[in-house]
Amino acid sequence: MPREKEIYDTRCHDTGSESCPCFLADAGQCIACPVLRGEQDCDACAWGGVCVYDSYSRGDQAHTRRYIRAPIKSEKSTAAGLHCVTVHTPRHWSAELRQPGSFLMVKPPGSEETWACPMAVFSVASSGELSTIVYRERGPKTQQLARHLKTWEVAGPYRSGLLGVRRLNRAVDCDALILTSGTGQSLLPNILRRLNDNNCSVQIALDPGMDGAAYVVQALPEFAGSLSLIRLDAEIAGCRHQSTAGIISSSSAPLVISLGSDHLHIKVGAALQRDRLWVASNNRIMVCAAGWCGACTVIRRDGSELRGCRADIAPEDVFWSGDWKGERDSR
Amino acid sequence: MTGRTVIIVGGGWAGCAAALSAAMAGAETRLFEKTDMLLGAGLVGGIMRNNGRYTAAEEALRMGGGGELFQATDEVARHVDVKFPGHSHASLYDVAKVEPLVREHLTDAGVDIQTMRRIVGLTMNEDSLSALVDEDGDVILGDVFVDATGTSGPMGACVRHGNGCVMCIQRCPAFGGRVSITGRSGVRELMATKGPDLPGAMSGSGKLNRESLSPGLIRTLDESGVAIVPLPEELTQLEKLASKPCQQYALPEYADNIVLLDTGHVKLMTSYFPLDQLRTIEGFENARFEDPYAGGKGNSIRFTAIAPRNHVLQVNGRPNLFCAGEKAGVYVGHTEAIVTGMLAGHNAARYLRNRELLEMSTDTAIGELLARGCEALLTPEGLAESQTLAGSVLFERLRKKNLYTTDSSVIDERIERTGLWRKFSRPL
Ligand SMILES: Cc1cc2nc3c(=O)[nH]c(=O)nc-3n(C[C@H](O)[C@H](O)[C@H](O)COP(=O)(O)OP(=O)(O)OC[C@H]3O[C@@H](n4cnc5c(N)ncnc54)[C@H](O)[C@@H]3O)c2cc1C
Ligand code: FES
Repeated sequence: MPREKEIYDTRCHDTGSESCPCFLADAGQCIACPVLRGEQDCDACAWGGVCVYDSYSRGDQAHTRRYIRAPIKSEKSTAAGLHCVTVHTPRHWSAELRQPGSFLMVKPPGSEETWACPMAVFSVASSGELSTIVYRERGPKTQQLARHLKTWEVAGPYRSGLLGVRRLNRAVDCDALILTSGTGQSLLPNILRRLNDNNCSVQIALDPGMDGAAYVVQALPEFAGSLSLIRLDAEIAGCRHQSTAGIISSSSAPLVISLGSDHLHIKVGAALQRDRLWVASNNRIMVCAAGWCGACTVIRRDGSELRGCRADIAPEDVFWSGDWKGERDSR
Repeated sequence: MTGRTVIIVGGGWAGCAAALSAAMAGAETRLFEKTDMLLGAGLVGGIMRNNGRYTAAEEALRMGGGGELFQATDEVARHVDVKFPGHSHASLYDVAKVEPLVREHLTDAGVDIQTMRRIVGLTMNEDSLSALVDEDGDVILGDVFVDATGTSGPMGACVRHGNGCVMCIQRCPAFGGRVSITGRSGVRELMATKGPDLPGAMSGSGKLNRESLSPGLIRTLDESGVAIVPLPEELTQLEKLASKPCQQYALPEYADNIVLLDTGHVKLMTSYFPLDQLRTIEGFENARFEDPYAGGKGNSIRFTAIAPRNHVLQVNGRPNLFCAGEKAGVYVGHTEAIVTGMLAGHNAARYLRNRELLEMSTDTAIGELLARGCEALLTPEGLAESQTLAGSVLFERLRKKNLYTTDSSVIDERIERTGLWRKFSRPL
């Protein structure tokens, strides 16, 4: 039978992990378990391989991720405020940090958690003990980080860096189109490795962003052939200009991945038909990345709220206008 | 309604019978099962044809459709005409042989069997279902649906109402828990009760590993299909009988003895039995459980999600959703699942063709089961009563109404008279 359509089942990224059950269970707001949310039965269970109710009622104590000191091994900056920082991270994090959508929360040493920023992991050294992060200095938080280039504090690994990530992990022998702009590129290496392992062919449209740095290109010479440098929806000298909608309509790839600002995602969402699978970078603002502060809250079509830092949801749960609207389903 | 596809969710006995009936009535039929095997709780049971189930099986064989599954269970019976406390003329099917045979029957009838496809959601168009969504997000379009998801588990229910997940044949941790289609469509489901404020019921039997029992016990089982071992006084277990869904086995004999039946596994007719106590009894020194694996600690919880429905097995308020088996009442048993499945599948096919839905005559044992099961859902007392043709209240009713018989000429006449002869094996 041909695949008619797909509806992305909401899960929790942390089910069954060392951070589960979390205090959302205490608060009656567990993302996975309807019984812990006060419902009568398990029908709406977002099954992730373990029964959270079982763990919770046995009194299993979850450990919230703690910040650890991460000495900085090396640092390179450009005049345009782009920083490439390599920090020491525990070896046992490395497998998780190589997963598509994995990220760390990073803050200056000794600072409060309100100073923490989510940072995608660009690469992990083969020793497994060094992680590289590329970020652009933008607001006060990233400025603070740029001022502390000896040591940081990091917590992780976190898993919610991509909306719709299970679509990416499930794609096998499939064509993928990737549109990326600015520091959205930092998510590319882990994604490309997964697509390559799964025998998927990729076409990448890269908009280098405001400072014009296509830093991912040097890091991934093996993908140079599938990569075109473009300027999305704007005229800039030296770059081919193309519209987002045009790129999407001229490709027939069933999997479309947008890595960039919400502005990019909205344009991608508007251009996509329902028969294509969409994955997008998760740009929710995150402070605690644990579910308590609410900074990352996503309001879905049905009015329900979810914590974007923990919930495994699809881009259309966040950007629900146009073609993506109006489906009534029971979840 | 002029659609084509009947979608059945749940591949237990009820779902298999529904699929066979719908396919034989001429509908394009797809069956979705979350585990890697069909038959659900039927993979570990095995008792057929005891008491009123004999009559129902014979009726169903004459009606055709899903009723033909009784041929399959007869074909792989290890023992026939077995007597054990309170029960006559039972046959015990071989739990290791029955599933492949049923799969073959369904495939031959043209049913599209999809295992390891767990349905977790659905889309609706007003009051009707329009599509199902599986765990991978795939959307499955259909015209009419049968909810045969049973009532075992899921893990959360076994934790809340029982002694935790004891790793039964449903294997929720590996395949994900049961999800009710009726529940997902927004219908508030009913719970059976085992006592005031005690929802659900614990499964009433476990299976021991054959090789772990003494040669003497195995010999007795091989010869007669039954072994009855008196329990030392300190181990009699009266208090446990009340929690069983199988009221037909809630007799003192079952509290004073260990009753074993040979179904390929050794069926132990009690919900659970602490292993160290069991091993103090002669012949059980090396005993271990086969299903549930933690049968020393508890058993699966059932009947926490029953669909409110009408006499033709249509879920209340959901015109294109039918239900069968444990989902359709406090129905305990393979036979009960098969005969309700048979009607649900047939009526689903009728719904597709815009034909009047069939109500089973109460001049048959099957009709009586369907009618009483429906009435019972309306009262708290009814929800505390398990509906089985093999004993308890319903079997009494069958006897009173002279519906219980093993005489094939009586059954021939009855099925002829009610117009049900081969009714389910003809395309509509
Ligand atoms: C241990 C035990 C022993 C028993 N022994 C006997 C016996 O000897 N004789 C007898 O007559 N009766 C016996 N019974 C009772 C009998 O097995 C059941 O009442 C009957 O088989 C129920 O059939 P069912 O099809 O309604 O449900 P089930 O057998 O529970 O089937 C439901 C099926 O649906 C699947 N499912 C659930 N949710 C979904 C979903 N969302 N998507 C896809 N699939 C789903 C499940 O995996 C399962 O296979 C026994 C029961 C147990 C538990
Ligand atoms: S970032 Fe605090 S709740 Fe999600």
